[in-house]
Amino acid sequence: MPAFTYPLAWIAAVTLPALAGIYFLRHRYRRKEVSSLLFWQMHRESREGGTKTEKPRWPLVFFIELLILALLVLAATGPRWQTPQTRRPLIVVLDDSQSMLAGPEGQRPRELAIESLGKIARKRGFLSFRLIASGETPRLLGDEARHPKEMEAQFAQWTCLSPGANLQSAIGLARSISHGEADILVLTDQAPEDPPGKGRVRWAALGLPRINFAFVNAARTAYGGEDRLLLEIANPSASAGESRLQITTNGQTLHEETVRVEAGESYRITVPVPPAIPVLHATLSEDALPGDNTVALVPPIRRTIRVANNLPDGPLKKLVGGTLASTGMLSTQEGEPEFLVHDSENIPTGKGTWSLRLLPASEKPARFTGPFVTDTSHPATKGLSLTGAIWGGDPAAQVKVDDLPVITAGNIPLLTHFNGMDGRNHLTLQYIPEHSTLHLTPQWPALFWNLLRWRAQAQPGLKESNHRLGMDIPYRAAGSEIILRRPDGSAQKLQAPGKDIRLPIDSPGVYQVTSGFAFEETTETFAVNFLAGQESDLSKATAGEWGSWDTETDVRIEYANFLPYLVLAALAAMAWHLFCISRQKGRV
Amino acid sequence: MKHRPALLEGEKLGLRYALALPQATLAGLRGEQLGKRAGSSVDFQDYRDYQPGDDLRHIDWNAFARTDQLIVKLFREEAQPHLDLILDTSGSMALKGTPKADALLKLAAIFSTAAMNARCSQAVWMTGEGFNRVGNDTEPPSAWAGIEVAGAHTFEESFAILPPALRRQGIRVLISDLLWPGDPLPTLRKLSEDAAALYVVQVLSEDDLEPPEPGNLELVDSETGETLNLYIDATIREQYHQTFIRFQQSWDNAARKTGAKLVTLTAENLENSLRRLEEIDALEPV
Repeated sequence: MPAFTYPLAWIAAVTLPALAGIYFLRHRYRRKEVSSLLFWQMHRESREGGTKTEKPRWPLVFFIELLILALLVLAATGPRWQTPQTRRPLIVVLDDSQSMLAGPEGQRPRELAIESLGKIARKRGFLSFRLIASGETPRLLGDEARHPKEMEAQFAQWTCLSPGANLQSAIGLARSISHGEADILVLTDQAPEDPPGKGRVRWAALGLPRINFAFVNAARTAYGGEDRLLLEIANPSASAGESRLQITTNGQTLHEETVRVEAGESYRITVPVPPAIPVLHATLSEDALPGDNTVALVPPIRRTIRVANNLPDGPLKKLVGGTLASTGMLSTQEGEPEFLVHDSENIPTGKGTWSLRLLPASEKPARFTGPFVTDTSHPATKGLSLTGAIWGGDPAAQVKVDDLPVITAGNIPLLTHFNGMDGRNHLTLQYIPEHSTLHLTPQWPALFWNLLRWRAQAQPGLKESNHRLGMDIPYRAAGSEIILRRPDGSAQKLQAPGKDIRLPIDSPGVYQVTSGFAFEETTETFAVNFLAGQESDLSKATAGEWGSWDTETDVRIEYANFLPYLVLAALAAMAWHLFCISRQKGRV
Repeated sequence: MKHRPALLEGEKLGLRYALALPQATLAGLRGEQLGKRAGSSVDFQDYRDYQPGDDLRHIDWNAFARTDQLIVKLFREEAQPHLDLILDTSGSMALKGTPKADALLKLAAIFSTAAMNARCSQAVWMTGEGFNRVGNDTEPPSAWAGIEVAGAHTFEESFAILPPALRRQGIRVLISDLLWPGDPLPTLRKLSEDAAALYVVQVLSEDDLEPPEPGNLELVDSETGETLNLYIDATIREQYHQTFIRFQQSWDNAARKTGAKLVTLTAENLENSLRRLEEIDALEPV
C-alpha cells in the first residue's frame, strides 16, 4: 500500500472533475442546423444499420491533460511505495567525552565500543559507514566509508578528550545527513534520557560505575607580590576514598598530602607559590580516569601600562599621580605612553596612546551631589558607586557632538568618552578637588583602576593564562600571523584576519602562543586543564542497550519515494500534449 | 415584408443587366420581339398554299386573281419573350446564420429587372404546397407580395404536388441550392422541356461548402428537422468534401445532357459573382 506524505494534497484532485466539466461543456453535442443531411447520408445510414448510440467523443488532449493533472496531484501528495530494500547506511555517534577512557586497559568504554561496532558491522551488512564524534559540538570523523576497514581507519580521530558530550545534537546531525534512510548507532557510557524505541536509533552504553577522584577546579592568581594556588578535588563516587595529592615543579615537590574526601564531597586547598615558578603540576593518585588526575598551572598574567602624567604641577597632578601609582599597574619601561593624563585641548599623538583630559577648573564651580547618571556598560564605571559623593564641576559644561556621556549630573557631563577613527579612546573629566569629596572615597582609585585595566585589556596577548578545556580562549594578536605550540611540541600557524581570535584548543596541556613577528615578538604561555566535574563523575556510567533497528524483514520492505518518477512522467505527458496541440494547429 | 430590402437591392443591381434572349427558339405571345416561326407581325416572311383553318385575312387575294389558287401570306411571328423564374423557397434556402435567403431574393430581383429591361414578360414561381405564383410577379420586384423563404416542402415535393405552369419556349431560370437527394436529371428534363433556355443558378453558403470544425455536433436538417449526432474529425470532413464534389458532378452531368446552363454562386460573396451570370449568357450588361 502506498503512503502519502502530504495527504491534504488530495484536495487538488478536484481539478480533475473540473477539467472534465470544462471539456464536457466544450465538447457536448452542439446543435448546428445544416441545409441538408445529404452529405452526411453515409454516416446516417451506417448508424441506422446498427443500433449503436453515438456518444460524444472526447479529444486525445483531454485525456493527456487529465493524465498530467492526475500525475501532478499524486506527486503533490508525496507518495511512497513499499519496495524491497536490502541494506541501509549506518551512522555511528561516538561519545567523544573523556569518560570513555575510564577504566583499566582493555575495559575502557572506547575500546569496548570499537569491538562492539566491529561485531555489528560484520553481523549485519550495511551499505556504508559514517562516524560522528560527539563532543560539546558534533564533528564528522571523515568521509563515508564503504567498508568496515575504511571505518576502522577513522577511529584514530576519536580521541575522547572532550570535556562533555552533546549526544542529542550529534543524533540530530546524523538524522539530517541520513535523510531518514540510515540506521543510527549511539556508542556511549551513559544511559539515554529518553530511550529510543524500535526504528532507526539504537543506543548502546558500555560504561561501568567506578570510583574516581578528580580536580574540578584549579586556579593560580596574583596575590600581592606572590601567586596563590587554589585546587578543588572532588569525589563524585558513591563511597568515601583517599588520594595522594602532589604539587611539583620541574621534578621538585612543593607540596604533598593525602586527601580523604567523603562520597559526593569535594576538598579545597590553597597554596601560596612564589611567582618565579613557571609551571606547576598538581597530580592525584592513579584511578579510573587518568585525564582528571593532573593539572598544570602557569603564572597569572600581570599587565602593566606605560602612563604619563602631563598635568601642570599642582595639587591635581599630585592627586592623580598618587592614584595611578596605587593601582600597581604602572610600567617602568621607557617608550611611548599607552595612557596619557593631560589638560590640553588637543588630542595627543601616538599610535597606541589613550588619554584622560582633565578640564581646567571653572570660575563659577558648582557642587553636584547627585543624582549621578552612570553608563554602567562602560568599562570605566565597572563597580563604581557615586552615592553620597560630592563632585565639583562647571555647571555650564556641555557634551561635545562626538562624545558619549559616561557620568553626568543631570545633564551636566562629568566624564565623557570619544572613540577615535584610529581605535584609540579619549576621555574627558571635569573634577575640582577643592569642591569635591569623591577623591576621598575608594571610588576614586577604582575609577582610575578601571581606566588602566581597560587600556591593559586592549594590549596584545592573552587575557588569562589558565583555562578550562572547552572554554573559549580569546587572543589579541600583535600581528596578522600567530604560531601556536601544542603540548606535544607541534606548531600550528594561524592567521588573524581581525585582531581577536579564539585559539583552537582541543586537549589539555601547556601551550605557547607567539605573535608580532614583524616588530615586537611576544610569546605567552598558557595552560588548559580538563576540570569537568560532570564528566569525572563515573557513578552514572552504565552498560546496556536501548532501542532497536527494524528487523531484516522490515528492512527489506522500505518506503521508496516515487515523486521524481511522477514528475518525470508528468513532464513527458506535457511534451506529448504540446506535440498534439502543435499538430492540430492549436485546436483543442 | 421582411425580404423587401433584398428585393430592392436586387432590383437596383438588376438595372445594370438585360436578360439575354436566345434567338434560336424564341416563342411567345404577340410582342415586341420577332420570333422564328410565322406569325402575325407586319413583316412579310413567305407564301404558302392555303390550308383549312388559316386566317382568311391572310389570303393574298391578288395572287388568287392571278393564279386562281388560294395563297396565304406568311408574316414573321411577333413574339413576346417570357421569363419563368423558379425560386426554391424551401427551408434549406433560409438556413440560419447564412445570407442564402437574401441571395435568393436578390438574384430573383436581378433576373426579373433584367427581364423587364429586355422587355420580357415574366412569371415568378415559388415552392410551397406545390408551385405557386408570387403575388404581383408581373410587377417590378419591389411590388412582389407573399414571398416566404421557409417552405415546409422540398423542391421535389412541391414539384410532385403541383408543378409550375411554365410557358412554352420561355426562358427558365431556376434559383436553388439544389440540395435534395435523388437524380437531378429528371428534374432538369422537366424544366428544360419546351424551354427556350434553362439556367440553373445554384446558391450555396460557405457553411454548405465547408463542413463544420472538428467536434461533437448535433446536425439538424433545416427542411425535415431530422437530426444526426456526429463527431466530426478530419476523416469525416474529407468524406464530406468528396461527397460534395460527386454531388456537384451529378448536376453538371445532368445540365450538360439537358442543355441547361449551371452556375454556382456563394451567398456570402454574391455581388462579386454576378459576372458568372454574364459568362453563361444569362444576363448581358445594358
